Amino acid sequence: MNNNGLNVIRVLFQIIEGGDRRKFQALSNDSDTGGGARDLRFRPESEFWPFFEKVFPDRQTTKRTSKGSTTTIEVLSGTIHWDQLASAKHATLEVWPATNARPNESRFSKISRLDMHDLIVDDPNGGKSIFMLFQQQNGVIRVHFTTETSLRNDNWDPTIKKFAKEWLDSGSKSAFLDLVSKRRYPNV
Amino acid sequence: MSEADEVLKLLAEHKNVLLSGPPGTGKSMVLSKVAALFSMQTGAGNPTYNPTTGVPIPATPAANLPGHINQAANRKVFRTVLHQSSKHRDFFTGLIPDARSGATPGKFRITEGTLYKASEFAKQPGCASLLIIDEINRGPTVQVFGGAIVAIEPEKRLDDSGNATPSTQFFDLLDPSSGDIIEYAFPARLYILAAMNQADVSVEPLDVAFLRRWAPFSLEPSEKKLRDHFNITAATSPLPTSPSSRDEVLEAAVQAFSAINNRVSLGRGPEFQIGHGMLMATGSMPTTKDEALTHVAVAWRVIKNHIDEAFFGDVRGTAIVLNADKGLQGNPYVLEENSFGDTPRAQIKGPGMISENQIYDLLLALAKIA
Repeated sequence: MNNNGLNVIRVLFQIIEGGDRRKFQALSNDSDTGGGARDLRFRPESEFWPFFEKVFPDRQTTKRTSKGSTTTIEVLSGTIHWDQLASAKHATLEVWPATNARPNESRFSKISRLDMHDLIVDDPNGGKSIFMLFQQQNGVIRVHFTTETSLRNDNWDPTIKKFAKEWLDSGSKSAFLDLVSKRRYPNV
Repeated sequence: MSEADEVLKLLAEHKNVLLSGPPGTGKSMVLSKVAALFSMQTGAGNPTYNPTTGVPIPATPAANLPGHINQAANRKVFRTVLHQSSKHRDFFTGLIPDARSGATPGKFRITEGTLYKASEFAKQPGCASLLIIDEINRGPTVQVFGGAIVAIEPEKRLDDSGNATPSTQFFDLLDPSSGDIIEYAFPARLYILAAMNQADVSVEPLDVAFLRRWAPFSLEPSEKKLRDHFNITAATSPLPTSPSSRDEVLEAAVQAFSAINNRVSLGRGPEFQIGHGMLMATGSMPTTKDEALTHVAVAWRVIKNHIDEAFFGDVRGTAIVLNADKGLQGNPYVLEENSFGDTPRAQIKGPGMISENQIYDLLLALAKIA
C-alpha cells in the first residue's frame, strides 16, 4: 500500500433519526431527542468511551456541577474533516462523558455549530440516514454522511460493508469497528 | 491466462462481449469469476480512504486489471437475465403504474432499468460498471435494446471524461428525474458482458446487426478440463474390459464424452455438444471405483436427456450418437428396425435408467469411434 496514512483504522456509525436531524440544526430540546439540543449521544458509554479515547487525541479536564455537587471530568477532542460544497472543512469536535441525568451516554457536544445538517442524506429507498466518522492511520478524523441503501449495496470496502450490514440487521442505533484492536459494537 | 482474465481483457478493449458455448461449458462460472475480478470484492487489503470516489472507503481495486477498467477505483457489477417478457423499460426507463405502498392509486412512475442504472453509475467520476446479461437470446433482445443498439458500440460512447465526441451516438430516453424525453449516450466505462447458449432450440437466433456489436468469446467442451478436474492422465493403452480403479472408470467417461461430442457435432452441430460440466456437476469428487461408477451413472442421465432433446424426432440420429446402430457387445442401447403396418419404423431399445453395473460397458461402447 503506497499511502498507509490513508488506511482506515476505526469507524463509527450512528443512525440519524428525526430528533438527531434537529440536533444538527440546534432545533431540538424535546424529549424525543433524548434531551440536549445540540449533542449526539452514544450508548452504552462503557463500550463507546474507550473507543473515543483512541480516536480523539486531545484531553482536557474541566469541572462540571450538577445538583450542587462539582466533579472533575475529562473531555476528549480532536479535529474532524469533511467536504462540503466542494471545499474541505474542519472543526474541533468535543466528546463529553455521561451526566448524572443520562448515565452511560457519551456525547458529541454542540454538533449544531458544525453547520453540516445539509449533508444528511435521505435514503432513496426509505432506509436509514447514517452518520459516519472514521479515523485514518495518520490520525486524520473524517466525517461522512451516507445511507443504509448505500452501505448495503454500493462498492464499500468488504470489511466495512459486512460490519455495517450486521450492525443494521442488529437494530442497534450506534456502532463502532476498531480494525486495530478488533473490538466492535454491537458484537454481532 | 484464465478464461475470466481473457474475457476481462476483451471487455477492456471492446466494451461489449458475448460469451457463448454449449450447455455445461462453464459460462456461469466465467460470469461469476469476471464479476469477482471486476469488483474485486475479495476483502484483501486494508480499508482505505479514497477521496476521489462516491464511496469514501471503497473496495480495494485490483491492481492488474486491463485497460481503463483498472483506472476506476469504484467498480460495481449489475446483473439481469433476459426472458420472453423482458421489456425496453426493464433495461432503460419507462412508465409503469406506481403500485408501491402508499402511492396514490392511478398514478404512474418512471422506472430505472438495469442498463440505465449501470450507465448512470459509470458516469460518476472514478466509477465503472459491469452489466452482466445472462440468457441474452431468450428474450426479445433487439426490441429491448431499441434505439440504443448503435450507442453501445465503443466508439459511439461518451469519452473518458463524459464528454460527447463527433462519433458519440445519442438516443431518446425518458428521463426519470424530469419526465422529459432527453438525448442520452453511454459512458466509456460501462462494460456489458452477455451470455447465451446457442443450443436453445426454443428461441430465435440473434440478428447479425446485433451480433456484430459484440466481441465474441466461445467456450468449448474440454477433455483437458475433465481430466484436470478428476486429476487423471490420458490413457496410452486401450481401456480394459473391466475397470480395476476409479481412474479407469473416469478415463472411460472422458473418452466416451469426446466420442459422443464428435458424433453430436456431425449430426446436429457443434453448439449441441455436451459441456464438460455435465460430467463434473454431480456431487462430490469420487475417490473409489464404485463411487466413480455411481458418479458417471448419475451424470449419464443428464447427458442422455440432452441427446434426446437435441435429436428429438430423429431416432436414427440418436442411435448413431449412442452407437446403438452397430451391434456392439455390452451396449445396453440397440437400434431395432420394425414395421408399423407397411411403414418401416426404427426404435431404440434399452433401459430407462443405466445402473452402476451397466455404465462401464456403456462407456466402452460409446467410446468406440468406428
